[in-house]
Amino acid sequence: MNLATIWAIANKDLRQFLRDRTMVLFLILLPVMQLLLLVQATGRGALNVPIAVLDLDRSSDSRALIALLDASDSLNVTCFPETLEAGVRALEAGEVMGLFIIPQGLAANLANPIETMSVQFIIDGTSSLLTRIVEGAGQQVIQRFLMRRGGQPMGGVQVATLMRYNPSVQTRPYTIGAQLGFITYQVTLGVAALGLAREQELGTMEQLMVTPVRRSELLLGKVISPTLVGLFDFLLLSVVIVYIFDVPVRGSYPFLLACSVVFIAVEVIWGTMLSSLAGTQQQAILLVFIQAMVDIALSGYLVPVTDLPPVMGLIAQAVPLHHYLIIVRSVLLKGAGPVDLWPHLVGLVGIGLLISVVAMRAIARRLD
Amino acid sequence: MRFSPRRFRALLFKDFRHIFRDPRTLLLVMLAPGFLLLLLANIFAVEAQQARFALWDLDRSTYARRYVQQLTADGDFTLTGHVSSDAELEALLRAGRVDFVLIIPRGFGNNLAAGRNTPVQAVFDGTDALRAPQLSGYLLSRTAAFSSAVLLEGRSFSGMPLELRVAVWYNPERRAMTGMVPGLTPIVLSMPALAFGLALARERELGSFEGLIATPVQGAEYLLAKALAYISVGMDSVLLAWIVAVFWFRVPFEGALLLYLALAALYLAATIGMVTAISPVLRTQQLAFFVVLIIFFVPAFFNSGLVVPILDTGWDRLSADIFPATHFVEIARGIFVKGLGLDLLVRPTAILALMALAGLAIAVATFRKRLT
Repeated sequence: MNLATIWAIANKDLRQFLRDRTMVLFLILLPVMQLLLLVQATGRGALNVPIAVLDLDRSSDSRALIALLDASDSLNVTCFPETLEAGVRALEAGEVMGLFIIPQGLAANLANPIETMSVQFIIDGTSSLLTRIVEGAGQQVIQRFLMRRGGQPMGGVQVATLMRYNPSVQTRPYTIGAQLGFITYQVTLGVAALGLAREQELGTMEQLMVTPVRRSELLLGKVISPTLVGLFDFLLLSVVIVYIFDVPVRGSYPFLLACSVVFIAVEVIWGTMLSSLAGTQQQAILLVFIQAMVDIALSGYLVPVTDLPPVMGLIAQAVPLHHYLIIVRSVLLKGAGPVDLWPHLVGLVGIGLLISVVAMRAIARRLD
Repeated sequence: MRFSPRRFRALLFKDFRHIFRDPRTLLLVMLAPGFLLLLLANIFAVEAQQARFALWDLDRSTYARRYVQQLTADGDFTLTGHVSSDAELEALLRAGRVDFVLIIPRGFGNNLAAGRNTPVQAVFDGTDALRAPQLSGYLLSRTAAFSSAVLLEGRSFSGMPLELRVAVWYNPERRAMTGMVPGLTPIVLSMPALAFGLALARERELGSFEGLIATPVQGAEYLLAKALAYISVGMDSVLLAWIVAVFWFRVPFEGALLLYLALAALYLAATIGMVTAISPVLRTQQLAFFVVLIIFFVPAFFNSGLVVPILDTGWDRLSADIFPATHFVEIARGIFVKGLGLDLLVRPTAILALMALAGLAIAVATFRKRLT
């Protein structure tokens, strides 16, 4: 193997890439734009689920109950329908996720309890996750209300909750940390996946084959330029998140950088393999697209891996993105280092090596 | 030159042949959405929140043991270990091996036996700001159940003046699949738009666009024919995804199938319309891929209200509204789960229609039969 040859190929790819000005512009602008939009959409503070309250009692007690509902961390009273029909319509139209019905006679029954009175809470069950959150918040409000009125027997276990690393429970640092990983991932895989397919489709592959370049040199050369592009995007985005979004870097940045290089290289090799399997760029892209969906779904960001069905949880262990996201977030937000993260380091490097060997073989076979 | 139906038909025919001649691509566009729905739904339809916690028990009383038993009784909370120092606690949280550490202080059992209040402390890994408060909510409600069980021992129940009665509508069995499967359809149905964007870029990249320039074909004819071809092929995947949802996942379908299909076609038109609007910039397939990934695909996961609901205020609303997926999440869930008719889906339908029309109009207006 000749280093000069490898560099010549990498250099050729890099030049070819930089010549496409629109592409370069998009690679710089789109990830940053995407980050901004995603932060805007998911980076707000607490979850505020809109609910409607139908107050049939109209007493100072019912108003106190409504104030508690509105003050709840996860609920937001947005609408006060006059009638049950209006409330149901708001629920049906999706304007609110729940309808809270305070019955007539609430104040009278509280002043002089004769019976257990029910407050109805109708919840839109479309999302079972939100249903649980809304229901739990409703229960807590009732408990707090009774406690405040002194109707509840005192005594019992009181939990003091501490949120380590994120005392004010902000979603922003977590979201942004994860997006740094996601966007690096998607740029890397996208650039890599097209390398070989493009040469094949445009017919320049044949020209490369008749040069004295060896298969292994060609392969390594092909891997270098997408890795550099991915690394560039990682550096750019990490500057943006640290200086614009004030995400803390509590751990060691060089360690994070080293892990990122490994991750990017693994994704590039995998993308190059997908690219070699496909006949055209269109096929390569569709393959990468499917791969990306599977990876994002199993990455543990939207659904924690511990919550997955056992088989899926096992498959998730083989997804480099899953390990990488944990590393990024733990280093940035918790100040974790190699000692804390060794299972994920082993996962990232081990799976990475395995993937590389399999991919290299597949590509070599394909090139022959 | 005017729009010619004859040329339009010929172009449509050409595009269909293009699609069907390449079986691998055809397979990817037609089958992949159904397959992906199978996979994604299994991942996203998680029924329970599992939490792992470690215990720092300074009390070691029967009450403490009963409390932990109550917490772990239904299997959602798993006790994975014990700690006995601050350093151990910190190491477990930093490595992410537990979601929280529960500290039971000395005197816990004695206080409870005497009917006094007694504190416990729960230190959570707060990095995931959506998950940590949920888990702490579960911990609180489990603790409340334990408290009242202990308090009511040996006491005659006095009854409470107020209770909350919860009714879950539209999905009374609370199956996660019921809301998740329709919510995932916009993601898998972004494949036709991707294939369309690639096809446009491919013609430019491979030079067959040059051939078209030499013909009397009009921009509107060219774009509309291609859009129509991909929408029609995309409808196969709409149908397939519907079959997977209804027959494999047994998601109840409360609404009208025809309305669903019509609005799904509108969604495809909106995504394809947006791609055509930006197509003059999409000179290479690589670029087309990035743009589609960023406009349709990633936002469909994060911005569309699939997992985290959209807030109805200012920028939050806007940053969700500009993506077509947001509106189809609303439509698909509304029709599947609630059986809504068009009257309650006016807003998302109108926005999708606007996106489709505006996209095509911009594309036709800016289309140039020129090589650059």
